[in-house]
Amino acid sequence: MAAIACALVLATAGHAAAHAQAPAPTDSLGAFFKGLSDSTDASYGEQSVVFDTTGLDSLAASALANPPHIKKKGGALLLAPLLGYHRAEGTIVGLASRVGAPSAGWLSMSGTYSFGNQGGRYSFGYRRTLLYHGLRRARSLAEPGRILDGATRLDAEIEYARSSLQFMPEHAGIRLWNIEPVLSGKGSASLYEQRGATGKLTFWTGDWRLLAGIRHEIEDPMSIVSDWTLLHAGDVPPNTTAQYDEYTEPFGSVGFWRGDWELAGLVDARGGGADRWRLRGVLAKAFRLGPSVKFSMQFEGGATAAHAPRQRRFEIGGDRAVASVPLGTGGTDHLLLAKFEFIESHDVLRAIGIGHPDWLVLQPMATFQSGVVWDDPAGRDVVFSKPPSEPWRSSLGAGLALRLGVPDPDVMLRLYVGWPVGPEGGSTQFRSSLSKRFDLLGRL
Amino acid sequence: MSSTRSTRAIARVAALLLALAATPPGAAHAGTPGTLPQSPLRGVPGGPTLAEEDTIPIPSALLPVFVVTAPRVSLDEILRRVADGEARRDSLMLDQSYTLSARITYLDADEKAPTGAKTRLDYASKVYKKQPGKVREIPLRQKSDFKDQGEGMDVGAAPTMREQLASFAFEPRTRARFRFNIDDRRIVAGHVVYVISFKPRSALDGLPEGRAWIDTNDFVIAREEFWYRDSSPAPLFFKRIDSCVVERTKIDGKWWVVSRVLARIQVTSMARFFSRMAKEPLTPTIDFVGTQTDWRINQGIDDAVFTGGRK
Repeated sequence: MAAIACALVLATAGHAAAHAQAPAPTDSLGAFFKGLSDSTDASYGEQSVVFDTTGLDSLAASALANPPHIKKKGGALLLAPLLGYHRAEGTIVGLASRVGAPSAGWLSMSGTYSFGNQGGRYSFGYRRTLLYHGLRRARSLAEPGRILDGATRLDAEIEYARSSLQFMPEHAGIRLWNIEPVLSGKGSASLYEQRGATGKLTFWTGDWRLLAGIRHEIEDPMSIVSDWTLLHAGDVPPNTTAQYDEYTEPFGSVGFWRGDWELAGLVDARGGGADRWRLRGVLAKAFRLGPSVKFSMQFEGGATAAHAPRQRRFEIGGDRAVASVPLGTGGTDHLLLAKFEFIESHDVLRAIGIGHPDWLVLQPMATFQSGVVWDDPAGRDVVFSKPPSEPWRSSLGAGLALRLGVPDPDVMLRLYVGWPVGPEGGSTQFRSSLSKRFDLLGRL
Repeated sequence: MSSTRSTRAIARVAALLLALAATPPGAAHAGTPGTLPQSPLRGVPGGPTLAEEDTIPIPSALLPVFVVTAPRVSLDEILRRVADGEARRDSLMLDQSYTLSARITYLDADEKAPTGAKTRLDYASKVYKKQPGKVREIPLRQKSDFKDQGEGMDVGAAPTMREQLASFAFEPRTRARFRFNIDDRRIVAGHVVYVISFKPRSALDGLPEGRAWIDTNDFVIAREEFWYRDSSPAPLFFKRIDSCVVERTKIDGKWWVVSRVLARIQVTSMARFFSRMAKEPLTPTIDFVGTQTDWRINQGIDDAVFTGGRK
């Protein structure tokens, strides 16, 4: 027995000697990492790393038989204030709330009152997750879904709402909590009213999102009720007139997002019959240019029925499209748009030696957009129609980006000036937008 | 609203650190339960492996030169084997149970010695997990003076054996976004332990810098440190994340598991301003420490354990 033990020790020693400069006891690896741990303890300090474990062992041992009942304070109801201003609504105030639990689903409600047109807007929605594999926490299910590596999720949602919707919503900024309509109104999209019910199923798996649903809606025009703004009182842009419409339509979309490739795509489709169908696609890709510059490009194309209502048609202006072209430009049945953007990582204020709050990290950016909206010359209901060569509209922009990091890591506030390029480029405009890097995609 | 959000965001980040320790199952698992690691590489399978150490800093002092000939692998090969080793580790775990403890401490330790420490959350639970996708977490104790202890205060465990908090930089999908370097090599008790540092290739990716200690016997990450010292992942709320430390321990002589996670976060003046408005004031620094102890792995947990909890 002793001989076997000796042989083992010798064999082990020989093996270790082949690889180690100084043979060490078998528990040395543990001691090595324990040393690093002790160093971590010292840097954090006793106040953070020492746990009171009194009684924990007995609680853990009987956890299955007698699970302790732990009361939690609050957290049941969260009220969010809603504030806004728009030339078609006046001052808007309201509240939003969401209650629920992962097993029962989530009920969301919101209501606003617009003092300008003395109208109320409200929504009641219910969302339930029918299938979920992935990070399993209450928080995951409380939030609306999104593409997450390794997660599969199926959500069912129903909603009844009376809302103010924006024309060309894919290019519009946010309606509430937006300071721009207060300042000038020139950067806020026109509104129309929509009432109706929607039901949809959304499935996320891997890098994909599939969505299908049906809705019944009634749409009405809205008109200007206030021409006050802080900078351009009496000179607000018109509110585009929507066409009255009542319809039931299926809708669906396929979205793709792969973070490590920085590649995303989206195809959105709406039915509604021969005079209402609408199709839109976006392809987006970002490239790393060295350690401190990122270049991103987005391409968008859209087509709708030749006789589609105005509120379904395509526009080309605004801070998410061609910056130097005013919102409301277009209203046609086809769209093509290309956007290119460079962002540099350095803190501009620090680089030029201006003191600033720790959170105000402004990064330089430059952008170029070019696009065209047109009606099919023959008035055909077709997806593919050759764009005219003349009226392409382009804009060159430069400004600053403030990366917020919430609610998504790549959400940023862009502040920039867009200059027209070419005869159809519009006029110089100051733009601000709060969106993700690929701002034509929305939440996937 | 924003003030509540900022407070909740801080709490969520802390909670996420533990939750991320076992994020969603995704990539196909390499390796088959019950088999030994098979390696196409030179060297002894399951034994220590030496890399081509051309990125280790060369000492500036003149030292005597010894010529050593030994089979070496490239850093890329080491990284690939770490990803495989992590996947293999995950796939061989059928069930596990452990005691989870978490603590959030508010203090002031922004470039100075810690002062004014106050424990805001002290939480403990017993966690049971079983493949595929079963989890039950039984809270054992919670002491907290946060006003809102609802969904924002969830310190939950995920139903997976994967510990992505340790392996995120080495995963096949993210590896190309980092630049790796061999910083050091230690030979301890027949184990070659490499210290491999990683740095994001782009400063605009919102990824951390860090370093990991790799035990080349098992090709698993035994310890990892990472930080956001030069750029914050959420500049509005977090000034810096000075340090995140993930410590692993070997259980039963073969299972590397996360035993402790620590994070020190410096919050911005804006986050502190909003938190004061919400009467839930933040301190300049927040420490999060979580431990996972009393590990039991592949002990054959009965399915009935999971009928009373979340699936």
